[in-house]
Amino acid sequence: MVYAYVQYGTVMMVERRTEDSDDPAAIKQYYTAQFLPNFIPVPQEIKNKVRAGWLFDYDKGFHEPEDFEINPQTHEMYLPSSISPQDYYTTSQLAQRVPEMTIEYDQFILELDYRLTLAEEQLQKLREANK
Amino acid sequence: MIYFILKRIISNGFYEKEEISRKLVFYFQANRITREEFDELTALMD
Repeated sequence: MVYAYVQYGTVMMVERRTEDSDDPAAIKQYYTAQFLPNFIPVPQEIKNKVRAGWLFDYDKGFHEPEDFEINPQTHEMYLPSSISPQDYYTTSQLAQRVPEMTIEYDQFILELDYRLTLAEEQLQKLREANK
Repeated sequence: MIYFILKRIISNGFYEKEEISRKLVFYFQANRITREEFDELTALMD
């Protein structure tokens, strides 16, 4: 049996220990009684899909949020499984810097172009003087 | 190309007017921007 630890209607983590009698790692051996009610059994058909960030309520059961949906309880964003939180953070930071980087890039290109054009003109004048 | 870069710099507002004015004249004299572009960019700075 797979269990999801649910808090505020949100899966915080998934425990893959089982309660089977022959399982040496029964969940109650690892958590004190106060935490056990928060462990909700995950239905067999979705046991490999449920992960932290999924939602749970007793009416609908487990359901997956939309990608990038903000959880109103935890205020955390649900990321597609293909994106790690670190990658998302790095990308977001870079995206925020794009306008600033564009300005720097434009100024750099302008200065470079200006100097090259100036140098070309001076070279042309020297060539004409040496004719 | 240089017209678009100049326009973006002026539109963003991160420039020194005297320096960009000097470059506008330079690029116009070097035939890198047209009279219309020069007038448009100069007006954009005001």
